Amino acid sequence: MKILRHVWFIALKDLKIFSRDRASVFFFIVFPFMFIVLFNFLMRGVGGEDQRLELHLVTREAAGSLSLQIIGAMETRDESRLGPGEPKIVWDKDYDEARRAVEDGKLAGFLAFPPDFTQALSTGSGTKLEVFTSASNVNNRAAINGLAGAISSQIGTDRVIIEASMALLIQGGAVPADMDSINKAAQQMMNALLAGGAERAGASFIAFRTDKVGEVEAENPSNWVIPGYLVMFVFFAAAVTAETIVRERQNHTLERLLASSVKRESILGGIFTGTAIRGLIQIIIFWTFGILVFNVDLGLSPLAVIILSVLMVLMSSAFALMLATLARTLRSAASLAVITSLVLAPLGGCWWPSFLYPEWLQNIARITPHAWATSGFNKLMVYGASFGDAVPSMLALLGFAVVFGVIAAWRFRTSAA
Amino acid sequence: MPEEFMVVKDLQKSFKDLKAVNGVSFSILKGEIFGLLGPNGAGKTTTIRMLSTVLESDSGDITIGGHSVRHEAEAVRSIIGVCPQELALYEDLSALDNMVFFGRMAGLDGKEARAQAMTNLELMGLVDRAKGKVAKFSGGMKRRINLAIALMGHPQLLFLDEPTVGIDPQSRNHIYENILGLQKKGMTILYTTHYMEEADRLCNRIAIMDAGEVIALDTTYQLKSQIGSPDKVTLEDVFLKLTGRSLRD
Amino acid sequence: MKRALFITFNEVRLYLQDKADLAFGLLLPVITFALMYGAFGGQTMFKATAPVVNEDKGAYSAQLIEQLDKVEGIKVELLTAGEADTKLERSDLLLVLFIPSDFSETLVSGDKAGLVFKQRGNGGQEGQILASIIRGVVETMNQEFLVRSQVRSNLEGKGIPENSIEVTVKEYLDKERQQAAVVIAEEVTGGSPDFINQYLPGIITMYVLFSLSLSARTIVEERKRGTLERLLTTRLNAHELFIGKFLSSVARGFVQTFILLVLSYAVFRLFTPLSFLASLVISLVFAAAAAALGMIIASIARSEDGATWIGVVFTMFMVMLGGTFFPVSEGSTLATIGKVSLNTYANDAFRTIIAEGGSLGDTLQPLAVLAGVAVVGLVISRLIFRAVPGGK
Repeated sequence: MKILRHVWFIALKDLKIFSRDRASVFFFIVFPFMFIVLFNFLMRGVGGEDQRLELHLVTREAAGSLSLQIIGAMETRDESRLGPGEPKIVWDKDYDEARRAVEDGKLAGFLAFPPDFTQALSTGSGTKLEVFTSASNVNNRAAINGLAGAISSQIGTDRVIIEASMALLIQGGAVPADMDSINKAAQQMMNALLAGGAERAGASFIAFRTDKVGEVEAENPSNWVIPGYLVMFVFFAAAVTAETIVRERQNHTLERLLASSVKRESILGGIFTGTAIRGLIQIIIFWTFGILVFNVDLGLSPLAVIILSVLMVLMSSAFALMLATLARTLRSAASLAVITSLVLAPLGGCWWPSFLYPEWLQNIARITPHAWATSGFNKLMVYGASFGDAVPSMLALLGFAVVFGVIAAWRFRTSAA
Repeated sequence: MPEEFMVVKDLQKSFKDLKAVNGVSFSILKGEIFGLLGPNGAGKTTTIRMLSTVLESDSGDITIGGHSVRHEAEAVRSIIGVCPQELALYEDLSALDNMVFFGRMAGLDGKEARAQAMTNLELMGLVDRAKGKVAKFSGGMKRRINLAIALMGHPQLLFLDEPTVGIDPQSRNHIYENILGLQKKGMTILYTTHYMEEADRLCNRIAIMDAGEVIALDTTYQLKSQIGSPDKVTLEDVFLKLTGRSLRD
Repeated sequence: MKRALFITFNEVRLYLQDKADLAFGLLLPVITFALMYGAFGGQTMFKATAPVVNEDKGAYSAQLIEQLDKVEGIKVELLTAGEADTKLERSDLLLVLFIPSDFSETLVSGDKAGLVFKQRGNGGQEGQILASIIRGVVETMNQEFLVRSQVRSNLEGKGIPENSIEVTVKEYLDKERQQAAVVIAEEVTGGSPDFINQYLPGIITMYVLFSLSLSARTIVEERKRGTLERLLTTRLNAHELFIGKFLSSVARGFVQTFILLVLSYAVFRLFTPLSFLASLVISLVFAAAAAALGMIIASIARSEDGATWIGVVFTMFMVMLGGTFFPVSEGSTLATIGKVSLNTYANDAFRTIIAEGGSLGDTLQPLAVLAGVAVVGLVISRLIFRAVPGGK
């Protein structure tokens, strides 16, 4: 009971000191908001892009070739007749011009048929489709590669049909084994396949239907901006608290507390509680403002968002305690706070979503509590996940809080010596 | 014969290779002002920190008010007050806030803490500045607040570690009068200082430490008699005679 | 003036001896750049989660899902129909693949099966690509059925046994899968060099600005501690003290940038001797501007904490508005707002030299702005700077 009282009084004392420092209060609350407002403004409309994909095709073959027939069949002549999600296929006539356009950044990429495409297929020697894209446009690269894959697959299917049929016909004696007869029969089969055209598409065994349930609406950027910066600033504010703790150690007030009946555990608990209360005030203001002003959507499980927020505050407070035990001077406490915040925030996905990173970097990011927090928030608020989906993030944050707390308790020194 | 309030027996403390306190023994009588003097690095502050339960000794016994520091630290802390050499204050809080906070840490409830804080502020002549931010206080005022905080919770034994460093004669005099006033009320005080005239004026008995050991312990009169006529010899003469004139770290 | 320079040299010497400061000023930019390079500098690939509702319990739906999961960058997420409809309704998802309950059964019976894309609009960029990937995977499955059907049709009435057809078709399908008739050859332009040119200047200027704005804290500390006052009791006057502190900030910022540019040259071979020198000139002018603003912070901050907060706020806004982490299109709102940021001009100047191979003459405008900020900042900070509260 006495311990709890001491914890409470120490926490209250820290909150009082904090509230007297108007500059700190201003930066603690107003500064993060300025960031959120700025990024909401900048990210308006992001996620609402729903333009039809435009894929460019080029051939370097002469008139009458197979590639011309393929492109001719695929080219979009009337965009209004395209179904939802169907890409627009554009036929670029000049290969060199198209290449220059990609290099200059005017075109994202194109698919090209080489000059010997038809001849190579006729002789059975195999050929290629050239995909020329810009490294920065990941979406277009994937789309063009997909289209190339589909064309390759279609041609491959035709080859298998012809070769398998011919092999069996020859084997069964239906076609004589001389080259002329074989070529003639193969050509007839090829012509029949090409002539099939649209009917062959209908002959597909698996067909697709598209049901449109509405239009694409722009995502509210607050749904990912607020969580990301909330994680960063709650952590940063707590980390800066480490400086306060170091100051108490240096000016001997901590020692003075020990010389009264205050136990070491009470001091740790009091500092932790004060920092946590500040963090809770921060998140309450953030979420209230976010919901009322920015229409933040807390997803299908607002309770999970709240629990995640609270756990993040507890983890940050424990981290601040740990940082204070590692820092010997005020300057090193301030530097460590800024350094850790500035490294962990981008790594953990506070500045941009970590799913943009390659797999190996996402795995490394898991050593940061930020990554778990932002991933939990994104799952809940952007992807509509349920409570259960956020439990791993909650457990991870709890784990971090425990580890930081144990290190803090182990290393806690009360004197500057 | 006043009883012994604090008994220190064969206290030892080392920091790595340095023997900071080496077999210190003394006792303090109830209601006495006991001076602990010594050059820089003699081991005074280390001794006080062990006595006030902040630091654990390597060996030796300390009993305060009948309670063992080693085994009953909690009970000891409830009857001591510490005024450290450094100004251990929350500069961003007011004088009253500082005192109420430490009063509550000493186990007082809100009302009691406030009442005692006002009493102690009056004692220190700082009632008018009760709500003022400590950061804006002069050095002398900060020292007085530092002392006032040590009085919260009505301690029976007060540790005063150089309480008058760097303050003007008026503030110093005020503190002397307060200390003597506290003694009259029955408080026992352990006092360390580098100001010999202060020790001479306030202390009933003095222990002189050097290199972690007590090298002399007696009343000021007896200590002066050891080297000459007590009327002519000063405590500083005694001190320098016993500890030498070479510079210390 | 000589005394002011002594202060400058002393502070630079202290800076080079201070491991914490060096770590902050040198190690941190390297770590940040490495992080960003690892995240965005390589050849990134399309990654997406494919939401699928599988109401079929047969082998073909399992095969489809398995094949889809094997596609690099694609992760399949199985949902119930209710979950999928809710998420589509809330726009949490823009496209979902529904596999009906009779999918496998229909295919086994030789009939044509259907798959459904439920989507909002076109499905968004990601949805459209996901749809094309799914169609590609389905096409591979479809290929088998088509081939069998077409070959049977070609061999109708020729008396070829069914098992011969099966065996031969399988043989040629396997052959096609191992050695496709048409392979895809990809050539990608752009990538790493663009990344370095885009981000390197921004990261360098960010950390220089951080260091100088946070060093304002040290000046506040010195003022509180009384060491500035102590300096004034020597033969140093207030002007010399101020200039000394300002020049030491400039020198620190310049040394920091110099070391980072040398490291950049060593790793990325970005410079010619001339472009390196031009970069140093830009560094000097930027350091002067940043130092002047740091002096303003030191003048207005009343406490060390206040100095830290102001420094951090100021730097982060400058950095975010200055196009450090994302390219800013000309004429956009961000470009307009970004004109208040020091980093905009410094980054532009560096990019002109490093990425575009320009000369110092091509950077006159941003340099003029930075120099202007340095001069104005210096004047304002001198007017408000006090080494001692209430002093000169």
